[in-house]
Amino acid sequence: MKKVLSATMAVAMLLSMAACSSSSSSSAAGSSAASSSAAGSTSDSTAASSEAADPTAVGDVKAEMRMIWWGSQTRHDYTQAAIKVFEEKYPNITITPEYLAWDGYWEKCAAMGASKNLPDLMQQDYKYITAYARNNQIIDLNPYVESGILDLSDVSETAYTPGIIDDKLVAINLGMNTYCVLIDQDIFAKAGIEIPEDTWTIADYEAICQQLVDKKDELGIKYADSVGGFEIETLQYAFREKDMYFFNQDGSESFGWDKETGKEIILAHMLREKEWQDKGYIAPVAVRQENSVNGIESNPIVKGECAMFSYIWSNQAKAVSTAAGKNFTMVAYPSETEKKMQYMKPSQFLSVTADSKYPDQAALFVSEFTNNIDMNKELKAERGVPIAGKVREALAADMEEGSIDKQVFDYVGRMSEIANVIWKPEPQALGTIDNLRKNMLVSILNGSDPDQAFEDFYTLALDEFAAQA
Amino acid sequence: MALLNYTQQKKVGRVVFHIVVVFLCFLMTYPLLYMLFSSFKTAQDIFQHPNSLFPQEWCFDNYPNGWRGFGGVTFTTFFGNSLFVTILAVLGQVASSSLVAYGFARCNFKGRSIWLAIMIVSMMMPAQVLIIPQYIMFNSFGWINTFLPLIVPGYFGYPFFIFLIYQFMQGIPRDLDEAAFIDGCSKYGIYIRIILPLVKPALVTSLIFATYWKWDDFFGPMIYLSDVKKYTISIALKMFTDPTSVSDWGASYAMAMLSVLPVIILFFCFQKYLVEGISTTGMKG
Amino acid sequence: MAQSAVRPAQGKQQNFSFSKFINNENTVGYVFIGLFVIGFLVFTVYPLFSSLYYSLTKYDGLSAPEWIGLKNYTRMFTTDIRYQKSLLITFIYVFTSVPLRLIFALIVAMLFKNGGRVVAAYRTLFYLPSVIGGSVAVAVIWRQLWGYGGIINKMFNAIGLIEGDFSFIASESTALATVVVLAVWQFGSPMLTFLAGLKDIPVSYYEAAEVDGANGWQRFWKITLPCLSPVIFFNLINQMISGFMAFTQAYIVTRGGPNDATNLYVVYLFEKSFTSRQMGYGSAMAWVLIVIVGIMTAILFNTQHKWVFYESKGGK
Repeated sequence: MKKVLSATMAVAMLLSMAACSSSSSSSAAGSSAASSSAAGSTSDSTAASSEAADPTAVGDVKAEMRMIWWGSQTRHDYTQAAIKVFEEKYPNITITPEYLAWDGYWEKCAAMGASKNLPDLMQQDYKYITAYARNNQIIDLNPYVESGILDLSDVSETAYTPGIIDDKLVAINLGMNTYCVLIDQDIFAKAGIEIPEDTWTIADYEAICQQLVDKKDELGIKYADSVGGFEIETLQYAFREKDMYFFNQDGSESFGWDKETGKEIILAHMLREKEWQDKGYIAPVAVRQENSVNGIESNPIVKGECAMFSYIWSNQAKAVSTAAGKNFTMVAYPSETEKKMQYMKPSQFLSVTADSKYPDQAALFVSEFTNNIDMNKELKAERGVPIAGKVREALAADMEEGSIDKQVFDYVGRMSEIANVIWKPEPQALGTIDNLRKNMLVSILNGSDPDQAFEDFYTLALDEFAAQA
Repeated sequence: MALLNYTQQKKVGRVVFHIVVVFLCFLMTYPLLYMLFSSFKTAQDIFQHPNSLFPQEWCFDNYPNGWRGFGGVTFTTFFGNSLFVTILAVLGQVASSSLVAYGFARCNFKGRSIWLAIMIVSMMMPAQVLIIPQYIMFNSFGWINTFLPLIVPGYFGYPFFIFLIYQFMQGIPRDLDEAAFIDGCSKYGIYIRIILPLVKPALVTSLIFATYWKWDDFFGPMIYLSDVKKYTISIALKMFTDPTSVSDWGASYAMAMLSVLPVIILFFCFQKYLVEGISTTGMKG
Repeated sequence: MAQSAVRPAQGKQQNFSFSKFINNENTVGYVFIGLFVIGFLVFTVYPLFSSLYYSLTKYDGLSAPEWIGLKNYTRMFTTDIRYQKSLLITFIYVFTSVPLRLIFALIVAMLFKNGGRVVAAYRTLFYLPSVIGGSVAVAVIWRQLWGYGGIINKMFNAIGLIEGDFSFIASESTALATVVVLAVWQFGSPMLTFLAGLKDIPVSYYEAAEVDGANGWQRFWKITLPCLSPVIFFNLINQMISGFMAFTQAYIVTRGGPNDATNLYVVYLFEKSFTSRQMGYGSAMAWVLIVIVGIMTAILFNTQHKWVFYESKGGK
């Protein structure tokens, strides 16, 4: 197991370094973070810490901090236990937790941000970090990496680069996450279909769907793939296939394509979904609409009404398995060629806010949250696969063979080798644009005129960009 | 029907009435029954047999598991907080609203219609846009992470109840006031001795509404309270489910079930003030 | 009205000027509404005017608001087609759900207005849906009843109106109707006020009518409805306001979908304010809503002399 993981890491590192060097935007600050971590040599990190603050000295300061996160019962329990471990190690520091459900979390943070009352530590989402970073609500952690308070030596570059906005390291990844397709191996076995490799293509996917649809009644399924709702990622993959990005990568509020090319890619993608729907490969639009509101545990795969569930995040596999009472097989999302378009996405981040009176101690906490094995044993990788190598190894060693946790770990490990590079965080217009895109897709799946649907989408999208810019 | 005599017809009519009503009751309460029975389902059962009302096998873990709460803070705390906030806030809302309503209904002071209009307009502001300015304001008062923002504003009248009680007061004949006035009763005395007893149904209605709304209010507590030990039930209920990760639906149903009980009991106890003994006072003659 | 205004002057001879002052109609008025005035000035004015100011700015809730004049308002009525659709849907929602809710509530209140324990139990059961309001269970159930292959679907299959599987929740043409039905089903709050209003009707009116030989139907039209009209008026105003501000039902059951078919005003306002962080635009939408609801309320207030009967005004 260790071998696989370390190999995984090495490959991931190589890939990401190659990707990084080709992108011109990596700055002095960004690369200094890289040098103290990616290089990972002991001499480097001791040099850094000797010239600046010593972590133990930082931990001796009396500090009262607050930390806010969203989640469910499990996460609240685990995180509190981890905080206790931290407080035992640093008795001078206390951390008051403020946890919430996802519903309302961002509204509350907006209100707290507006009156400069954010907790010291804040759980962040990829959708929001740009806004918080650009408004200087969360601080640059690079100085703490340089001074050695925040130790990223055991973290691969792919794992922390998503937290870099405008050359500032504003957030630390709390767990790796990637898209997957859940496969009901029992139905596949019954149909005599082999479980596909991670490298499978769209053509393979279509062939498998056809086979499943042919034996629909015999297998007791209604369609081959339930899909989720109307996730935006698959469209983003379609752009990546053409070596383009859906949103502009320069951080502006705009698309990464001109109208004509974009229209072609979008309509091709959506009309193919319509074709799949009409052939019974994927669930009808009404079912997907219901899926999108119902939550993953109500997906038809739980009731055995389909053989596959694509469009799902790896850290959600556990919820589906629990609901179904059995494990599913996880494979990568199919792509046009064998090259994967899916990427490793941080499930969530931890940031230190500008309102914090104890940024040193907060950074220390982030460091411990990332590297402390005892803390992570309490956290139980519930937020996704940990980014620090030693932590991953320690957790993997404790896992039961065949458990869903183990499966997720293995899958994420496999994917980190072949995944695409993540794109820049989405613009602020994402919320509305995503709804507009959903409307366009629903119209097309319902048989409306695709050109008209696209025109409506495009006009309103430009209006939204203009309002955000 | 001709075969039946009058009393028999009446009996049949009553039986039919009850059958229809019981059927309708079932329709009305189905979601609550569903919630009740789902709270005894296992996690798998909830999702694999969503269409069946009864559990495949009865599971009683959801209640203790849910009550356990989050990170050491149990539902005892959440219930206590909700009771505290609700009782204090509701008393203030109903009492102050009845005062204000009397002012509008029975006093002809300068600026009455303007203030009445302001009161009605303040019912029309969607709460969603007020969140941030209100937070900034309460933060400047130093009220964040206390129950004050949830309780104190209610003591200055709540437009919905003011309007409700005002409407009821308008339904009371003025002859009564005048008679009392001639007997030497001041405006203040009329409020306490004459009007207040007569608007009891409106006060009870306000009380039931106010209780349910405070008990159910999610946004206010969510925004203003940060210490988990101060959370109310409405926030706690949401914390079982997380659309991005694993949710505990069984516990969520179980606690939701327990949380509606006080409101139902309150309604059941107070409804008699709304119906029994049709009013004999307050008529002209 | 006029008579009560002059009353204090001609009342009992007042010897103390304080007593005169304290019983003055203006003083009494402000003593009673004083709490509201203070509360309004302390708790409402600031948020209200901030939101008015935000509505003239570009504000994301994080950085300082940036003045853009009336741009937010012009955007609503020019480029933002989704806004216009949302406004239309909201009007449809209000004009269907409010009358249905009131009629349903009145019928149930009349049925259960008196009676023994059994009727009290019925009343409680009929009120239950309103108590569980926006809970997850309602959302889950509603989607099951009206969803793909759900019970309602099966019923329509049985009577031959629909063939095969159909989702009322997820179809553009029917999604709004399911939200309206949900709103009507939760008719508890107007029912409660109707019950309270019915209780206030003096029983002697009915007795007198019975002596005159009026049948049940006549008594309903001649006594119940006029006496109940202040409460009907209240419910109409209040339900209309809350109808325009409806959020929870559409948000939990359909999230505004499919294809914006249930994108009610406040659901859209919420999306704009928080999901896409345009607080300025959201505030502008709120102010337009206030104007719309304000106009509708004013219209209703101006018609009330034609049909609302107040005992206190002595009119018959």
